[in-house]
Amino acid sequence: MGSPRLDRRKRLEIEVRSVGVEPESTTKVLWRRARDGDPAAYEQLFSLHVDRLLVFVRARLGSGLREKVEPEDVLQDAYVAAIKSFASFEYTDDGAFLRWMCRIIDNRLRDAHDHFSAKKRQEVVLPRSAPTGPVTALGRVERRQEIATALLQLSPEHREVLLLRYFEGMTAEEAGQRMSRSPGAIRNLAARALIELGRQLSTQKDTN
Amino acid sequence: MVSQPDPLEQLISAHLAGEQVEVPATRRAEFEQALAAHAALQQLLTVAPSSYPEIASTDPLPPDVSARFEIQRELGRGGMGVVYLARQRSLDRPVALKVLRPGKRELGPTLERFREEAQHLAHLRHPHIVSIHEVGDAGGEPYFTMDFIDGEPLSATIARGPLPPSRAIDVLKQIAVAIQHAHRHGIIHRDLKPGNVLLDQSGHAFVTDFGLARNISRESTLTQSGELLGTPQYMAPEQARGDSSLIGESTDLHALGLLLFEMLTGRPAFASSSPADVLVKLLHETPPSLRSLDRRIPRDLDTICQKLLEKSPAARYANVSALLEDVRRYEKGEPLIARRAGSVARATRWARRHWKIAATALVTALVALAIIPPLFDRSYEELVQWGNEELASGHADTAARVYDRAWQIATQQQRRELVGSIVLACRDMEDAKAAVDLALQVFEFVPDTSFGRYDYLIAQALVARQRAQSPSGAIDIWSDKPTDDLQLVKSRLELALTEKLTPQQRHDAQQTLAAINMVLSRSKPTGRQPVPPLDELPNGSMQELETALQDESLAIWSRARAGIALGRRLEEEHRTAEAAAAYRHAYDLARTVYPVYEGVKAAMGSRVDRSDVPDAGECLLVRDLVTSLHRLSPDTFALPQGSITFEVVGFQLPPSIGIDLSLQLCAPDVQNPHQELPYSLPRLVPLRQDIPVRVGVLDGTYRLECRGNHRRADGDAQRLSRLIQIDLQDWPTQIEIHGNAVQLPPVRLRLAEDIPLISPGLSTAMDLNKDIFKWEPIAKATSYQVQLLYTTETPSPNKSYFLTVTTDQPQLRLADLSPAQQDSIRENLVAGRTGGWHVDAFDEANRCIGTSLQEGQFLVASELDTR
Repeated sequence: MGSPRLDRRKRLEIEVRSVGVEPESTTKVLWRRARDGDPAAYEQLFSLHVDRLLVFVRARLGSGLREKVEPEDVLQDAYVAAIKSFASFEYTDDGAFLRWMCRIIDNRLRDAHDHFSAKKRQEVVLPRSAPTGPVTALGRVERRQEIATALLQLSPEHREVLLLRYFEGMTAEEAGQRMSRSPGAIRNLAARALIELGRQLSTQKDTN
Repeated sequence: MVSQPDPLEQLISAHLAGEQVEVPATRRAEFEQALAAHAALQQLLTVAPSSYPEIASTDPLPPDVSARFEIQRELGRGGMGVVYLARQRSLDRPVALKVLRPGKRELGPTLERFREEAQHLAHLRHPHIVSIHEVGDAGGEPYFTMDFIDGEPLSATIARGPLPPSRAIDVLKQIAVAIQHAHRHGIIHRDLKPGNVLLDQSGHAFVTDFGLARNISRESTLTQSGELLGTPQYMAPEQARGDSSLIGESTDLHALGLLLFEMLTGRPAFASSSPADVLVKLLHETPPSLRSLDRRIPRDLDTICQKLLEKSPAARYANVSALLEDVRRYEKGEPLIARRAGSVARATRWARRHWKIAATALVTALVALAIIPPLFDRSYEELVQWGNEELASGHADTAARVYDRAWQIATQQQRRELVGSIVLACRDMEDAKAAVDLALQVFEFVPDTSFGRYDYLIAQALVARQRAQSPSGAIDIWSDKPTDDLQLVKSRLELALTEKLTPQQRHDAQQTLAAINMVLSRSKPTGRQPVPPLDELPNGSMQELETALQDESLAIWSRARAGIALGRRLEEEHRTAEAAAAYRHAYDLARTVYPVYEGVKAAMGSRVDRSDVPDAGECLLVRDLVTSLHRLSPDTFALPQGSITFEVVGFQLPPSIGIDLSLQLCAPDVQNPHQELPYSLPRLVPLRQDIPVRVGVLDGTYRLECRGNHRRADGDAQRLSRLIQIDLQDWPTQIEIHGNAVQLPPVRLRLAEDIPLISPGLSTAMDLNKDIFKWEPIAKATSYQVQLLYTTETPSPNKSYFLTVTTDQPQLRLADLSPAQQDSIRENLVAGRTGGWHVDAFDEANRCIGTSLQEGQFLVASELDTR
């Protein structure tokens, strides 16, 4: 008897940014290869971003959904979804893939329904990024964890504004539409969130 | 709500926008911290432009390989690994070095078998086989080295165009002798395809990747099925069906046929953009004749190719030697061993497939009733003999009953002997339901054996079983796991597709097959169609917006949005009066279809804490519109104050369950406010029991409709939540709002009873003429509504409700329904479909007091007869 459930399909918008002419970056090379049908390149492209995406997913899930949804599940789902719509991804700059993935994740989380009840999920093995060398890799991983933890300490709207602006690469106008605020208010909110994030990060440093 | 921004915030956002700022010394530390956070985020998100070390780290070369081989360049890579050109330092010779890199998936025990197999293959030496030199292992990653062939794969040659027949035959012969050599050593290639044949500069052909694919791919049906199913182009039918018992020398012969076809025509024999299509073609279609594609191809080559590509392994050449003999005859101009499949052969083939359709129908029904009592005092042997006699004299249905009884008392060994006779009986049975029931009991002993014309029903019965086990009641590509059972269903469906089917049946089966293939593969559709959001404002010139605003053929909501967009543009140009007029026009339009400015939430899924989420975007748009109107004409337009409010009483919702009311308000003369829109405007109002629910509504007179409710629940509460009923009988159908809060009668939540379904049981085969739907009666129920539906995959699960029948009895016989209802049943419940049903019970006041939580599922074995 339930009324049909109508999903709100938000359009994936890819922000086009112009970039200067530079030697081809790894991201671009991988994107080109993946676009030409090399599955290994897609996996590498994904694995290059997987840790960053995990930071995003953790923060995006916040504390509400966290017990019910495993970040890994979300990532798996997005990974598969992104393979399917990879053709619609346009490389514009090195951050574009990450922003695109973040938006996919965000979209999927928002109309997720029951996709993420963990018990139902089919196992998809994700390509992982391996640490490069002992020193740099360790530093990088620690830094990521610091930021992920700090993001979780923020208030929901501070976290939201940083996720939208930084991870999803939204303009203040776009973020404003999402959060029902004026672009000016978004800029101030983002600044306030940065202050809080900075405070969290420096507190962590002190306790370490 | 809006607090005065801290000056520090403004300083930071100005700084980030690239402006020069003066930071007071007292705030400097905080300022720096914020900038550090900004930098940390930037750094986190920036992928180093040249992160090749990161790439390389996923592809490390095993160190001791590097010690013994000098890697010169990468020759290619695929799902299974990377091939390098390397120089073997000890012998100073070029070799091809393949590092197995199974796409970062765990291979586990496969690795061990791979090594054994590769060592075995290392003994295979032939001038046209790429020899394996050594197999090694470095840091857990197996590698092997092989001859380096300075040339290109045959696929590259073909990509430039078809080969002339003489050249094609030359290559075919070289490959064939290599395969012949392997077969003599008991090795089947199994993955012969243009990519696995190398041609060197002087035109010599070499077969590579010999047998290596085998072990891996066997394991892969589970772990890598995406890839395997993704390229069925070079499979033999028996491989595609997963019929491992039939895979053998003739499998490679089929592959040789595909190679020959592709060399001569430049295109694969079974080509299609979708792997599922290729599969269907591969299994069921004869490839086009070579001469229909190119008249210059000699007829005898066409014959050889057709012979190689026979669907049945037994119909192909007996072995490679027989093929080579025919190739020799072709070159000498002698008559071939393989005769062309002439019209006589084709007619025979047809007759073999269809004669049973015309089989006799007279005898069985009479006998069937009489034989039941004597069945029970017979021994197994007596029963089998009796059954055999009945079968021999053409009484298949009787034989089936006798065999059925024998089966019940048979030992496992006896069952293995008996199953053949049962299959024969099933094929000739008249009673479809009985045939399917019997076949389902025995088919696991003979998973690949055809039950003739009942293959379709049997396959669909298995599909129905799968559906009964799935939470969604369908082959759910998202939630179902690739199980062996599903694999079995798949091969039965493919078998069924070889039978004569109605277009409807074929369509259903293909859709189900596609869904199953998606479960078995890892690639899923995203299901995301770009639908323009209804809360976005249109773009376009002012002229275009003005036109859209006036265009009566557009949806009213779309016109209103155009009006808002136009108003904003005019306002930007400070044309205040015109802007106000545009807003006013938009307001008058929006009010008729969506007069809600507060309290309606977007449909966002199963979160139970939904009442805290922001209002739906459409709602916000309306609020924005009235705010603008008020700003431009404060004297003539006041901000809306009106609302409807109501309390929620009755059954206390547990925290795991949430419930929304679907509330629709529109002008009385508007039939359907969602008309012409891609989806309905949001209208869900979360019900809360702690405080009265308030929905902000613009002034006016409206038709009020509640179109049911929408439940949100976690886990186990999902089922239970379906019992919750909302009573709204005493709500008005029309309301007037004039800046006031209209109090509506309380909304009462109530639990209905669960109606257990009695028969048919889950996934039972059903004869629609005889079988009766039954359920437990509910006290005080004065009527029951039975909803009938069927399930299809498209490829996501789809349930089609086609008929609701009202009855006052707790049972229903379809044959008793009206002619119109029966027509609808005949049209929708066609043989083989998975039907479904559920029941609601109503009391005198027409309130729903019972509902079946379980959805009944059944297989349509016999359709409703025409009266």
